[in-house]
Amino acid sequence: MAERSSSDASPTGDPLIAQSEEAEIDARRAARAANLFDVRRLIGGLFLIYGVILTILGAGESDASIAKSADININLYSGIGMLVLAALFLAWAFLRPLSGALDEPGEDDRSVTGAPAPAGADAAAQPGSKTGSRRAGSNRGRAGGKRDPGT
Amino acid sequence: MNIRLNTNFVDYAILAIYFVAVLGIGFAAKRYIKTSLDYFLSGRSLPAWITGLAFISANLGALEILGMAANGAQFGTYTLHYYWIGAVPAMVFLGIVMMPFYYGSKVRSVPEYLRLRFNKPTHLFNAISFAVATVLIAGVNLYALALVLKLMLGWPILLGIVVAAAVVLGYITLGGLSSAIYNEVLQFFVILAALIPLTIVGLHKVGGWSGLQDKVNAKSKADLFHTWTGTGVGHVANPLGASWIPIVLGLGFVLSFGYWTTNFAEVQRALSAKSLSAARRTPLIGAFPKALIPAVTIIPGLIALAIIPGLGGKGANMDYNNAIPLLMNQFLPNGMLGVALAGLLAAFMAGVAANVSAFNTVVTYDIWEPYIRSGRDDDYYLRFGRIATFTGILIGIGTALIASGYSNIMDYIQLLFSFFNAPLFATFIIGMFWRRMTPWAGLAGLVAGTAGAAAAHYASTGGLIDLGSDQAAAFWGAMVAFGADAIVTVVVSMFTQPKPIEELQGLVYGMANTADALSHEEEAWYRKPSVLAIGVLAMVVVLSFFFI
Repeated sequence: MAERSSSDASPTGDPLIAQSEEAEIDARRAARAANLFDVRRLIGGLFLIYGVILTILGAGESDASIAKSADININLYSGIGMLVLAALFLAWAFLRPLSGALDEPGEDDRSVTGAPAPAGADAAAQPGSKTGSRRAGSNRGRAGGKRDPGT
Repeated sequence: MNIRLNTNFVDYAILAIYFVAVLGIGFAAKRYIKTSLDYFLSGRSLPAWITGLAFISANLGALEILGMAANGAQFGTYTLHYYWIGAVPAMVFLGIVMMPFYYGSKVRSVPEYLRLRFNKPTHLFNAISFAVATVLIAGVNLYALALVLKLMLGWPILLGIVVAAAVVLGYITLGGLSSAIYNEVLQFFVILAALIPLTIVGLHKVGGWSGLQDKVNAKSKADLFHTWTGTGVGHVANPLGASWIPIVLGLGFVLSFGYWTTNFAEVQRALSAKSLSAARRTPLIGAFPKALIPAVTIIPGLIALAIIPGLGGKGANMDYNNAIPLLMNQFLPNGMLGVALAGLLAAFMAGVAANVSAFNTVVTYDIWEPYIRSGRDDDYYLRFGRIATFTGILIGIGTALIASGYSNIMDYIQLLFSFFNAPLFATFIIGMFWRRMTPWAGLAGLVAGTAGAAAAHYASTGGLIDLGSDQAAAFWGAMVAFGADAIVTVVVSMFTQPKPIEELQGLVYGMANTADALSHEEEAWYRKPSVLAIGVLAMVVVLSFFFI
């Protein structure tokens, strides 16, 4: 397992300072990562755009085009289907956000003064841990951590 | 028939939006990657539904989609054997039986397991042959993508190869495995968004399922709607040209278990899961879509056979492989056409990316770190991984140009798999269940298995023996490779020294490291691997009854 201890990155060489600075960065990083990396938002966003484009195209579809696809207005129906899919993913992502724990006020303080950041993959496996090493923090952001959205 | 698509600016806009999303994921991922484990295994952090969909997407490359639609047109529902016999049981086996050894022993790659279980020569032999095979397959995917771009959009082959390689290079170099996996999940939905409407329109056109049967039966001499008719030994009379023995043992056991359980491009997705339980669920979750995907690959193949005159004949572009592009051309209006194009290109890039991300991991962790430059800090290997990715894609472009010299791409891939995966599975299964198997038997078995596959291949193509159709020959070849590996493994084990039992902790049956399997995640019944396994097997058995 490749693990970086917190002191690696310290310009001052003081592991405690490095740790708290890092924890602060981690909390912000994790919160941003949670949003950026939520694949449910990516899927929802992409299909929202596609759904809008196809629905508009389908609404103004010519008879010749509809005849081409076996008399089904496939742009319209696919567009509506994609909008439904997008709504499901976005609802899932916003009702059970990955960064739920991270959005709570005072989270940063707790991160700074918290216990030494648990390093490595073990931290990601601890559902209750609020702090984390860089990796554990961004892991939770990406993966869901405590509020695992999926199976 | 002209296959050139009637694209307009809307289709290109839809395509462009997809590429922006894909590269955006890469840039976002780059900012959060700090260690080599992040880069190569996503920091072992992903939830099971993501790794499960990525697991199936790594397999759902465009070659697979176009190839299975082609098989659907050629063999009808016999193609279901590739899914329900040739994939689902092996995926269940990987999740239930083998994953505790892979994930529990904390190996970072499949070859690394061989180093722990056997010895360094076995490890190096496997790492090198795997690296060569993956880069060849990545090249084949690039070439096939360029072919499709040429057919459908009129792009020159070389331009298509370079553009596709640049996009894949962009998002993997930036974001590593996370980026590849997130794109695979996205790709999974886009390709389904393309195939489902295509299938619905096609089925409507031919008059539904019964209309499809009537039209296909009127056209085809063979019965394409039953899966076991004419598979008796000695009187084979089915389009696949194989009896039940090579179907069940060759395809269902050796080829399929070899591919799904030892191919690192697949297993890597499960290793990036956040816990052993999530890792075990990865292939099981992937098995559900795998069991249902034939509805959008085989059915379009049959539709193409029913309504496109001359499919599979000698006419220009009438190859079975073009079944889906031909249907797209015929049915999809601008708009859906762009989505279908984005889905196909995404599927091709997923095929390239899956292999390249497995390649860079194996080259870094299994060749460079242990044998060439050991003991450097993690940043060094992270940088090296990015260089390996770049080099892998460059070699991929080179092998793509080699592949352009071969006429039948699928044969080439089947050949690579039978040489490589079939013997590997024998070594794994014996090594996991028989503690007495010795380190040197590992190496000897792999070499013998590869030699056996080569012998069967050349004996068959050279006309020395007749194994039936190409498919049957591939199934038999895999069985020969497996048998040769198994026999040599057992014999060499008898004459060499086994590893001390304490060195096998976590690596062999009965000694798996399953401590963290008892985590909180196991509480919900629907997350139990056993429930998922029984569920997917039951589903496949029930579905099979409709096609007996």
